Amino acid sequence: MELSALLEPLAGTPQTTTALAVLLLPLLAFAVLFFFGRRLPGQGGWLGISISAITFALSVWLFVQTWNTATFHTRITWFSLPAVFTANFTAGILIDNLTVLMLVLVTFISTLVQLFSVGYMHGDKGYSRYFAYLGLFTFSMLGIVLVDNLLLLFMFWELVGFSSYLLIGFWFERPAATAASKKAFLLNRVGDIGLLLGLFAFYTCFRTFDLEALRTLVTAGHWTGNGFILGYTLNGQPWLLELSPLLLTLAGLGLFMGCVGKSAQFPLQVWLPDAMQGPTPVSSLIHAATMVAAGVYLLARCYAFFTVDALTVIAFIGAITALVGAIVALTQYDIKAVLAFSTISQLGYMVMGMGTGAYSASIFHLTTHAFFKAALFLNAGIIIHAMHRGLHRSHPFTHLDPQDIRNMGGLRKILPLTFYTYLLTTAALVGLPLFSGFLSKDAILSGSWAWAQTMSRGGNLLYFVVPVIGFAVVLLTAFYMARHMWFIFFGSFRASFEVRELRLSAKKEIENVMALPVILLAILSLGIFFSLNPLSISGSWFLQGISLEAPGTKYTLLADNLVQAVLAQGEANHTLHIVFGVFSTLLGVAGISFAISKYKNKPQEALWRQEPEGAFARLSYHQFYLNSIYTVAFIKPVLLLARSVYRIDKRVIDYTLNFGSKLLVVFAKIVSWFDRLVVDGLVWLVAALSKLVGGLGRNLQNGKVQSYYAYSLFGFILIILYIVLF
Amino acid sequence: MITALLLFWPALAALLVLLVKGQGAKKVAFIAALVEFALALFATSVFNSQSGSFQFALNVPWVPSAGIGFIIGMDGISLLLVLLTTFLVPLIILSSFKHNYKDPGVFYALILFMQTGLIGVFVALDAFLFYFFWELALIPIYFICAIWGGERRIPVTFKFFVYTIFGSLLMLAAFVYLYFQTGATATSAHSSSLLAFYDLALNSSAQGWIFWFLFIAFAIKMPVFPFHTWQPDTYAESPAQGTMLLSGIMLKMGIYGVLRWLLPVVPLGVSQWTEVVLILSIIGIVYASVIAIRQRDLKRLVAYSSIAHVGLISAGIFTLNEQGLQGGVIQMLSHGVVVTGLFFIIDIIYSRTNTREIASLGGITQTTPALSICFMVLILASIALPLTSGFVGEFLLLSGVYQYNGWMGAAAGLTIILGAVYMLRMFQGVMFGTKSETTNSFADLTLNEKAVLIPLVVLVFWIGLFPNTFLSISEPAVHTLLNVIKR
Repeated sequence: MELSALLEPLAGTPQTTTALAVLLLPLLAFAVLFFFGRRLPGQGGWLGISISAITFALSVWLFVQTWNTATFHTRITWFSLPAVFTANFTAGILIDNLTVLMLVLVTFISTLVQLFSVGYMHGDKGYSRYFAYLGLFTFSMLGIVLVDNLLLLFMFWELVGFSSYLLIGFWFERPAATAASKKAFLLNRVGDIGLLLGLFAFYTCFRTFDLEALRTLVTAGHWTGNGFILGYTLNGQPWLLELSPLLLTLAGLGLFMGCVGKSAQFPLQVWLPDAMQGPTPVSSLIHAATMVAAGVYLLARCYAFFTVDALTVIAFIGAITALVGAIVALTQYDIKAVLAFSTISQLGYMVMGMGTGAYSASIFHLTTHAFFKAALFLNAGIIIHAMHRGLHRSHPFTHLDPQDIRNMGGLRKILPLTFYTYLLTTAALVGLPLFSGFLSKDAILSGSWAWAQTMSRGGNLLYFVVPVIGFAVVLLTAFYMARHMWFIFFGSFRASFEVRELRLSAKKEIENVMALPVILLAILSLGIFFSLNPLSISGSWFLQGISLEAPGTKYTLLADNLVQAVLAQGEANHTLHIVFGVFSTLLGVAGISFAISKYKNKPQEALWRQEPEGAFARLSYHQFYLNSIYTVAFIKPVLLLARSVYRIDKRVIDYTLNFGSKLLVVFAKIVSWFDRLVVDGLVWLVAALSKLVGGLGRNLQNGKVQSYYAYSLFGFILIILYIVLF
Repeated sequence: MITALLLFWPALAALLVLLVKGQGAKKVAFIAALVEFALALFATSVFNSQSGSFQFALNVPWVPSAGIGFIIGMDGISLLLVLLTTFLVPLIILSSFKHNYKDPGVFYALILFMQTGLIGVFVALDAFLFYFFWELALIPIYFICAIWGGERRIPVTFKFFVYTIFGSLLMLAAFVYLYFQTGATATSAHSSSLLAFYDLALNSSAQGWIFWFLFIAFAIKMPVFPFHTWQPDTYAESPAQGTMLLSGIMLKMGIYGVLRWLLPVVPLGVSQWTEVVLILSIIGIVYASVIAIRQRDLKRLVAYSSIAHVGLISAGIFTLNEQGLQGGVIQMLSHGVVVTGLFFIIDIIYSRTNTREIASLGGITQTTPALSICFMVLILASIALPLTSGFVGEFLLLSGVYQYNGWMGAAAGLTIILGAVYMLRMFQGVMFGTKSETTNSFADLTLNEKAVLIPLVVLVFWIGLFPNTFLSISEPAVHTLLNVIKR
């Protein structure tokens, strides 16, 4: 197989051209809003929204055009390095089911969130800057989704990190916000190193970054006892590769590290809770629905390149993340913190799904989660907004945390719309039947069970840890969400002002622009939209479209044998699926009842003053002290190192070299002294040099010397000119 | 002929500037530097970028009996560095317009003189000519720092001088040795031309020795760990324009020296010591980055960051693969543009607040949209964000190092995190947060300052978005260079 033939330019199609327009429009919005936003009427928010709406419409058109049809790929040669063993670097757009699904998802939620922001950010002095940043974010995110090679993907990946940095630190006069934005950027970069090295590793083996070419190469190779054997020719020269499983596993884990950073997986997840310092609509769009899902998307895009061992690591990391996130969410009091840890936990589910071969289930969960979690965050934004309003109207000087759920309570009656949408989306998150989360979570759970069955055929039952954690997290999720809702919506209002001050006015709960997105998203958390039988995923149009067998995705994976075996096992488990559905529903109900029974009879005063009690609660409340551990284990040592290295630099290296140069000066002095005494005409050059060295410092105060020197330099140049020209 | 014109025009202009009395000198110098830039652009437009050989060459016997010639000429690498020099010098002169230095005629004449020296280094094709310009470039900057510098300028510039003289002596010794190894020409027993040096076939132990002589000479200039300690002090004590000249252009002399006079001249010596150099460079990356994290003074922080970036360039070019070398070339341009801009912004901050301490700054961004954007773009380029110039260079360099050795690639990759740590810390401390007493009435960029920063910012994006403009110029030269090395 000739590699350069795989990288031939491919002509544009209407589909890819449209996709390019979808990609570039948000960039245009960014440029216009960033530079001229303040001068536009209404500060240009409408411009951002209309461009978003157009990209959404175009994405829907693309979806209809291309779903389940074929892969559309346009490619140009980007640049080339002339060495014999490098192929051309290409750039292009790749459209398949996964792409259009993400396109619709991102543009839809982005449009809704921007609409919501019109109300939420009203009156902020950075209003147009806010919409500009959202445009930049959308551009970068769509770039990740659309590009056809890993190098470009990495570039957009970094840009997404940067726009997230801008948005977290949007209120840059708050120290907490700028610290959080820096933390997010740096922890993401830790992951990005892995991604970059993984990329280099694959590039060194396969000589291209192009995803389709890479997948074709992987399909052409085969496993033997020693490793992965692959032969291809590049510019006519044959190459035969024998890649060790360890190298491929490490390379895959490198790619996965990118996901660990971006999708907030254990142990890098600590940036995500801090990222809640950004405006709440941003948390909804970026830190719940889209950007954090990019890691899962990366796993899906690169699914062919993970070995069995790499997938095992991915499965375990996902399970750990799901568990850690859920446990920490149990005791949080900040309304956004609960949702943030819940997001971590759900991302853990998705990654676990990817690791256990439940590829389509994982993407399915990504989609359903995007809708209901975005709605939950927007709802939280409504509540925070209302709390601010109440504080402002009644006690402008009261110091009361408007995000602390201990200060809320009984909002059910005063904010009914918020309550019912919250209820719907919470049901979806917990995974109750008829809701979207039920379908997707169930798919992941049964997938991971089939994986554990397959993997433990050798007798090692350890693999069942993963699905067991999966089920345990259902219970925990139900508990913390029920607790969350209880604190916010039930009981009576605990803050020190009248609860009716929360409403916009006596007749109106919230602005229409804020209500509409939430309602739409809440409706979309019903299962019926994803599967005609909302109790079962079998026959879901959605799941079939994104399965590994869907059109245009038929490639062999590095872990093909395992994934096929898991899928077969999943088919064989047919009756078990029903058991799992019932079991997880029971777990969910149990968690909810447990929470209600725990809080129902507590007096309001106790809820208001509640602090985490007991060692376990404190451990959970402080996120297992991970931040402190990282401070002690990494930050402090690095700072200490910085200080001591600086000291070494000044005192040891500099001193040694200074000492050397002092010797040189002493030597020069001796030579000059010797010269003066011996007066030897032949060594005049040495003396002149030593005088130059020794004397320059002394003569500087004498202002004449520089011009004197300059003149003599000119003379010198003139002599050269004379020599050259005549 | 165009090479000779490029070479001598600044020196002639310097003469002219010396004659101008008072602050009018800066305008004359600026116009002269612009003319020089126009000349360089003209040279680029007639340059044949398909060829890897030396163009616009001039070969005049200088000391025919000794085989020393006045040989100059440019290939793609030289041309890019000449472009960088001629692009930066007018901006550096323009950046000084708000200062009223004493003896302006001398000050600006020295800058232009230095330009002749720098361009001479980049176009010289004879070892002694190269050495001559190498020294010529050093002297004006020494005076610029020693006369117009800060309080501790005398001991610091003295240290700088001794350091570089030491390196120069090693280089001279190596050149003299190499010169005596060359064969006879028509007129003389030996020759010091570059091509004669390329034709040498020394045994590997001699190459090993010469390698170290030349490497230390260039390593001091770059500077590579552990030869770097002159640099933060000198940067901190120099006047802003001196720092910009040193970091933006002069540092590239060392890298260029490696590319032109080290790698192809003693390839066996290089291959013996590649690993040592790579390890030193990578230590330098991590070492300087770690130090930069704790720096309180803005100039020192950027000085250490510069050591880290140069460490990566050095690691990349010593891998001797296409990515590493091309990455090194493009990163030289990027670093020149970015570091000049950063030092200029530090100068702006210093001239308004009289401090370079991060702790006593803060909140500047609230009143300065233009400055914030420019500063941010330069920081982003420095931490290698895609679409900026830094990404292209760092990506190629890291991929070059990775292909040489995966673990070294991983270690060098730490620069991705550490660079972001100190740069974002600096940006956050200076620009974000609440205003302090010193920054309360901080004004945004003036027209003059914009005129300096906007071209730099444009170039950052230009290199980042269309790296091929520059890569295609240097590509044949790099290719030829690799062929010479692997002959």
